[in-house]
Amino acid sequence: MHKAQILVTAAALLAALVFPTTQRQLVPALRAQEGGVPLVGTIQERAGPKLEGITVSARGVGRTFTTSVFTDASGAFVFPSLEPGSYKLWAQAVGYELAIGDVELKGSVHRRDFTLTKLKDFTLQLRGDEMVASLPDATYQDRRMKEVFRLGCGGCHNQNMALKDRFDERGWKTIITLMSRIATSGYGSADDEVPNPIYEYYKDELAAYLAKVRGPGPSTMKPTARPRPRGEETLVIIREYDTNMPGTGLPLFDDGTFWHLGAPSKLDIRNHHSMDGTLDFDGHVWFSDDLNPNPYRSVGKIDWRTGVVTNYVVPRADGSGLAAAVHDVVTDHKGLIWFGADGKLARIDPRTGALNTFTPPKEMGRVGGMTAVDGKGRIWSGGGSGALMFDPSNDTWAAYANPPSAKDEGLTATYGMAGDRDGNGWWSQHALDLLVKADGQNPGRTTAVRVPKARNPNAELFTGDDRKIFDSIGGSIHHGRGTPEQYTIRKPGAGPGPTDAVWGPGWFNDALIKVDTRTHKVTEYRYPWRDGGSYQAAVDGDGIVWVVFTNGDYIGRFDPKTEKWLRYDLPTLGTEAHGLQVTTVNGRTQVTAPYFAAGKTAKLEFRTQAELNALKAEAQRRERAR
Amino acid sequence: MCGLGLLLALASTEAGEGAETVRYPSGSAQIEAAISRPSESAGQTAPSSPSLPPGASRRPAVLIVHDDLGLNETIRALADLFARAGFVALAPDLASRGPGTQPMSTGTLGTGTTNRLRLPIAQTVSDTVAGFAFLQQQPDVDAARISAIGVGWGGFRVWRLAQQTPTLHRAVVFYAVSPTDGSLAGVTSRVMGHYAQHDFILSAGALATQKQMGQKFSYHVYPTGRGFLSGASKAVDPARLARELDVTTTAADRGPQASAAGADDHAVATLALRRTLAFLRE
Repeated sequence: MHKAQILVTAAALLAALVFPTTQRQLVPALRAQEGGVPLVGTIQERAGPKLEGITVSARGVGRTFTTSVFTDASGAFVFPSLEPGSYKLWAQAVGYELAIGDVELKGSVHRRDFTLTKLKDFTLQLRGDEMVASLPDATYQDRRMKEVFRLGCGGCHNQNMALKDRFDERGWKTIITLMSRIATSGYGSADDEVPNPIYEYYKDELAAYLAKVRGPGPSTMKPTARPRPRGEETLVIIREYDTNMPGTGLPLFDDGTFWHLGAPSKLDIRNHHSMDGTLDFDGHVWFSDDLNPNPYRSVGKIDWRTGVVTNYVVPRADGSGLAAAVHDVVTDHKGLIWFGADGKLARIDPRTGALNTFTPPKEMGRVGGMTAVDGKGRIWSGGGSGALMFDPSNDTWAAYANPPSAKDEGLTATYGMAGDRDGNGWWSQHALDLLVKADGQNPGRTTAVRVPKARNPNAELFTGDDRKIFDSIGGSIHHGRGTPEQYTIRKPGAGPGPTDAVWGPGWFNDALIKVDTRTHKVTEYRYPWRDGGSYQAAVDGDGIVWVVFTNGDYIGRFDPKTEKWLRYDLPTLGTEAHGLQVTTVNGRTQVTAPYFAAGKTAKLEFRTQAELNALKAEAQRRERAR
Repeated sequence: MCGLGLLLALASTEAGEGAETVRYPSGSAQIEAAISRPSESAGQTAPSSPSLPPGASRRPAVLIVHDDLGLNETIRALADLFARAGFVALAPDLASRGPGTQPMSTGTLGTGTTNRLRLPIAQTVSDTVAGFAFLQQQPDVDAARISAIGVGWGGFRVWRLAQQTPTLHRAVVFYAVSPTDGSLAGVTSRVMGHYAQHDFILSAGALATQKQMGQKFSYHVYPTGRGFLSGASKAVDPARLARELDVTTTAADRGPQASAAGADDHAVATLALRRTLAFLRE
């Protein structure tokens, strides 16, 4: 065990010995702000019942992070102790008007109750998956276009951003034409560049459908909210840190904070951070800043208590003066932070801030943007047509290429990276639904595991040329998603927890694919939810699988032993969270999720019911004592 | 004319008289081009324009717009090949407003002349249209039978030419992006497209093009990759192509056979050009 981990564990043991039971249980939840003020309240529907699963958020005035909790079955919410001061406090749920107020936190406890009023038209509050669920599908033609929209319009952005505004048929055609050449970064390209052929093929029909759904006239859409969090799902504490340009926090508009304003615009560069995030062993948040050329940051560290960001720069070697862009950022078993930058592998010791880079031998090429740690502490980086493995214990490298594919098989782009317990690397060839295993014991050796076609009844809606257009494109398109019968596995996750599986999240068919890392047996686990757009999986130290859903703004927790799912809703609309990492902090799993389209990075902590009960009891005691 | 008949016709032609360099006006600029003219007897078995009296010497013409590598030897050889088939062939160098076609630096796609020079789309379209106008004015050209061929990057320019030029006889595009502004239905010329199966995303676009144009657009997809006619790989030897087109008189008009390594680009190019010649001479 690394010294840092030993220290943390020792501190936890000491706490267990010194503090009485109640306080010991409160460690992760209340230790946040020593001397802080408990903030509690109840949420009730106007002339209606107490409401469970309501998102309640508090943001200190002048601060750069927001803390959110959820109401329990009695409608009660309990924040972790917050620093005294001025706060904005608000409560939200899809289908209700925003309730917001100012609170001055002082004294021993603060109570603020809210009454929520139902909202007639809550279309703008819908998350991407809810937007899809709300689309009309009563006729054959509607079902076809709903599927085309589902397949095509949730790749570069969430579906709620696509349907935020209303246009007539001509307007939708113009938008589809623009979208046919736009990249995920949100910038257009010249009209002689290759367009997305699916958009072109279905442009007229899709524009007509969208003009009915989100046009100037009455809409055929029936806004449908998914169930709110319940039970265990309400025990999460989520802190969302601003990750925009240095110097200012985000104003609370057009960043997904207030749902009634609709999904944030990804074309606003303020919102265009961050790509990936992780935690160090002290619980501080690290995030990467991809697709946003700047001189000030390759990765940033956020002090989780204060929100203060410290930037780290790996300079580009091209003399541009810009910081190298970074995609993935991960934490190894020693608590060190790793990422690929400018073709090199970079490492930061979070306790000292020391930054080192490691350059692969020239003949092995450059380090890619996808990064993972295997069970033996080796660092895998992927991108292009294969992967590199770096062993920090002896500074050695190994190179792996994608297994050969027939030219007519389809697009062979790679994505994601995972390291299993045995020391193998795994990545996805998303267009072909292949998971590739790189043998950590035999440099250069790879095995392709083919995932069977996804079951999608909507595939039958397409025949003749309508079907051929999907079959011709060579699998799913990198930015534009793609075909009805593909999962399009994006960023797989494996160990280093006690697991013998790699888990591949299907981006646009609703399943998590498990591949046994030794037998290569493939098993499909269907999600209990639809169209969330799962994007990255990770496995924690207890073998629990965590999955981020980029379109649905939530994180799933899957226990492979019980096959039970929990869903943790993120407090921001239109997060487009592409990344997820899990880290053990103070003996507990914490989760990070960067918001690629909403300018924030989230850190999730989880309370137990007993801890929450103790917090409520303590707050009630203080209220009575006043 | 069927493929076999066309090959017989080609076999009966004589070589063109060789290319010369000309300049034609486009606005205030002068665009450099290679022009290849057929010999006296070249292509005489091809049907002549019904508007001309028998024996008239006016020939069909073809404007050949290069790919992103510019007016290189492959495109010049294509112009010669069409001259041997009886066409007046004009191949402009759309980089000639600047330094002209530059040698390829690394042999990979994306490093060609047009990419390096970042030529404005509208300007290159204007220069293509001006090339068509130049051919119309040639005394030996049948103005009613001027067609255009665009390869890759040049294919998009030929699409734009077709949109602006109702008098264009035929258009042929090789692995080219189609315009996406919804205006293809207004193209009056018939258009043929040649695509590569392994150029997945671009080639799938042919379905959308056909959906807009209906029977005015026909296309073929070959079991190979992009650039089979004149790509940066230089897999196609123009001289060999010309020889095979001329002399392979007994070859059946069937598709090239795919193999694990992909189809033979020579076979693909030969078949695509046979189809092109037949189409232009209909």
